Amino acid sequence: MATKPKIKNLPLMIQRARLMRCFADSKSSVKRSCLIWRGRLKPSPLSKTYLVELTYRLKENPKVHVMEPELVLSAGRKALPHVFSDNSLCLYRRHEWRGNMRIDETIIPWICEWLLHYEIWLATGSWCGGGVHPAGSKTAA
Amino acid sequence: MDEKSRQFSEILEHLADDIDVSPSNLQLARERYAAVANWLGAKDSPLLRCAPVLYPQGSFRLGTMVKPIGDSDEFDVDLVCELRIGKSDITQEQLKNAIGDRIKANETYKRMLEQEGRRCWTLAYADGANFHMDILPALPESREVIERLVALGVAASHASSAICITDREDANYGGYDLDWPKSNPKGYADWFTAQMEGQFSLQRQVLAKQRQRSIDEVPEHEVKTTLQRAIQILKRHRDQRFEANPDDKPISVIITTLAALAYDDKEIDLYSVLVGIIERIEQYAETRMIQRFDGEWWIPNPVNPGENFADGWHEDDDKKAKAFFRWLDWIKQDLETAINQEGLHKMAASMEKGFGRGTVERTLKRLGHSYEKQREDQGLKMAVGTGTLGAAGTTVVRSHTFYGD
Repeated sequence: MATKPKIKNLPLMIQRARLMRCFADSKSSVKRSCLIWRGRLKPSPLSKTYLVELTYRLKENPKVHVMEPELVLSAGRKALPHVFSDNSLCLYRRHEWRGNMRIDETIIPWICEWLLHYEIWLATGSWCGGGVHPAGSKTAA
Repeated sequence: MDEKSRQFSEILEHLADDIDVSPSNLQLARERYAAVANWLGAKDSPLLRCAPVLYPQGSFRLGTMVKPIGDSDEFDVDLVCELRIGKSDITQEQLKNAIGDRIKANETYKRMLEQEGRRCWTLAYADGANFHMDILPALPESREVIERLVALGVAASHASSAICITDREDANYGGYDLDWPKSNPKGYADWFTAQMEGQFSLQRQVLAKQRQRSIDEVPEHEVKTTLQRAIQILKRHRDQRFEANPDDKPISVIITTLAALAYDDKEIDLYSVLVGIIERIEQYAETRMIQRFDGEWWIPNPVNPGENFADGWHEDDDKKAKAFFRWLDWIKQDLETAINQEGLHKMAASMEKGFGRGTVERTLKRLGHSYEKQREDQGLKMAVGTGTLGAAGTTVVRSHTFYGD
């Protein structure tokens, strides 16, 4: 079996600097090898503004939680779409993100997209952002 | 407010798409009426010597059709069947029957024919699309009447298409007479197109460029201006809000005429166009688009000043007038409320009363799919500082797959 090429992860400080450059009003810290970023995102002019928190350690997947407002369910639906069991957002399939990618260019825009489609899901019961479920079946439109 | 106005306009465009009759259904309707025209003007048709012409009128002609509320796909197509006969040479009854007889001479059309209407013959279609085709028998107006219209200030090009129509309830229905019920759908349509001239040419040019064709190769009926879209939205809102008491609802020709008079085609986004139209109608006293004489209300037909679209408005203590201004206020409030909501879901909820839940849901889905397509085309960008997604912005949203759950 061929060995995978070694990925050079971007250092936490670099990720943090990029995030702060993009979102001047956000807050972040790097403590005990963990980057924590909190920022306000408004996915569209008519959307609400959401406070999100991103937690990231090298060689792990970044974890994203929506802090404010509390996420609610669409009428008649029993669960939020595209979240993990701890309600953190599930934004990509494993091979789509690597530690050598800039979080501000990948994860953050994907969070905004998730929030946008979340609002539309609340209104319609349908997730229009595409995506798949682990069972392999495509999300119903 | 500009960004909000632009996004809301995009949403209103999706809404207009939902309430409009689909292009494929419209194409079907056109094919069907071409077939009727062929039948009426066929070599062996008794009408042939009168050079029958079949042409669209009403919202079908103006491009302002809306589907009925309640999520059905039905629609109505209005046509005029004009014969070249002098109005002193035939009675209303004879004209009506001449056309009716020719329709009935075709076995298929005979089966599709509904009960004879006051002014029209109606064919019911149910193959591929559900629609009714209203055929209005008519003949050209006399030169005297046309000259009188011109003397009243109507443009000659509009006045010259004036027609005489039939009405079973008219006192002169069965006799030879010069005083026929009047109409001028072609003239009105030409007046209407002139009101949106600038936008119309612009949109036609845009379509021509997209298709890499000449302007003449873009059929007029494929052009949609913000005026047409605004009128569709106004009509649907009226239908939805007056669902419980449809007898009071403002009539479409009034909404269409006032909107066309109030239209400022320099406002290019649909929300601004609607706000502008509503404002200028509210200021009717200054613009004189609605007038009052001796307690009566006047909204003259732009191509026939003697005809008053608001002739019943004063009755019952101004019942219809009050209903109209109440509706105007409703739509103003509904639009303002929607654009000031925080959250697309809140905006959608606030729009259900005015536009219907089914329409609002489908509109939001169209919006969602358009964002998805934008991303797939790598045209969706995130603005720094806000995280707002759109065509402007610095960070392209890269391709990815939502997962989980």
